[in-house]
Amino acid sequence: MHEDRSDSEDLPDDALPTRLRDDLLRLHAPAVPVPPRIDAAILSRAKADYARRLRWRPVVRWTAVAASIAAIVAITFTLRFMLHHPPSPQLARFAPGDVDGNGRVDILDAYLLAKRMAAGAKTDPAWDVNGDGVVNQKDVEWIANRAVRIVDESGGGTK
Amino acid sequence: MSLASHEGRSDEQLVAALNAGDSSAFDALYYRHRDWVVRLATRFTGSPDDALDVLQETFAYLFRKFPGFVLSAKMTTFLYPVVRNLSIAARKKRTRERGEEQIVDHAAPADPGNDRAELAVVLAGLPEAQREVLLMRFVDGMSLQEIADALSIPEGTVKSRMHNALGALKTDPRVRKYFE
Repeated sequence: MHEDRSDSEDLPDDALPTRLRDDLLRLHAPAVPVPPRIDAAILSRAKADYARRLRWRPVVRWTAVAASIAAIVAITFTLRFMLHHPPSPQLARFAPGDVDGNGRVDILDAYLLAKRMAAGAKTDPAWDVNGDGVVNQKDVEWIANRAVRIVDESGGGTK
Repeated sequence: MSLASHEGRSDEQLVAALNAGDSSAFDALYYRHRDWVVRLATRFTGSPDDALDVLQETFAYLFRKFPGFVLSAKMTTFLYPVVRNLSIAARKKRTRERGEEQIVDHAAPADPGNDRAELAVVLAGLPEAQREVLLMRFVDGMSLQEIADALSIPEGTVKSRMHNALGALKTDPRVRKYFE
């Protein structure tokens, strides 16, 4: 059965005969007495809770304001610190020679370092894998040799 | 301010008074809607005791929202789903505790053989969605828009269910006499 009848006619208030409506009320709206003690309990509890909330409202409000101010100050200081102390580029964090930081030292690391040097990009001192104080072609060769050695040690399979 | 001083004030005005700190408006709001809530709860739970529990929980829920409550619809529209949900919870609790069969929309007992008994049977045979809107309109006194808002359904759907419910009543031989 199609549910939505947005084009249905308006139903008049007296769509139901009076006798039918009366019997509906008798069936489904019987008088249910509410003991006065329940009235009193509901209202006294409501008023007590309400009074307590009113007492705490200024405290909650000012706490929220203070927390907002503290958050703004913290964010401001953090941003200023980051502006004056930019983080170093994300570089190798794992084994020496792991230029791309993927947890492995392979020929791609040697290639990446060579490419960056050729482009004149900034290099990380951590890439000075041979410890001679400079990041140069010798470090590229070091990484490449290590990558090959690892492959050899694993019996020629990939790491 | 006393209860009498709030007489004649609308629900919106009572809500505003409460938000402004006038706790005496609780009484006016409570007594205005108390009987409606307890009748509705009785219908859903089938138990006067459970209905009184639902009454207390309903108004505890409402009054906890002050100060700061915003009444964006009629109070009965706001309260209907609250009462309904609390009643369902009360009924489930009673079913778990006593293993009683769940019954929806309890009707007051009617003498067998009289018109009201037949009406009760016919109503029980209506689809729940149709019976609900019929009772919300003609027992709870809610308008079609208020019913739509309370049930979160389009007004067209309410009209359709009402139309089908009335059609079923008009054509059922047991209650057709009401329409003659």
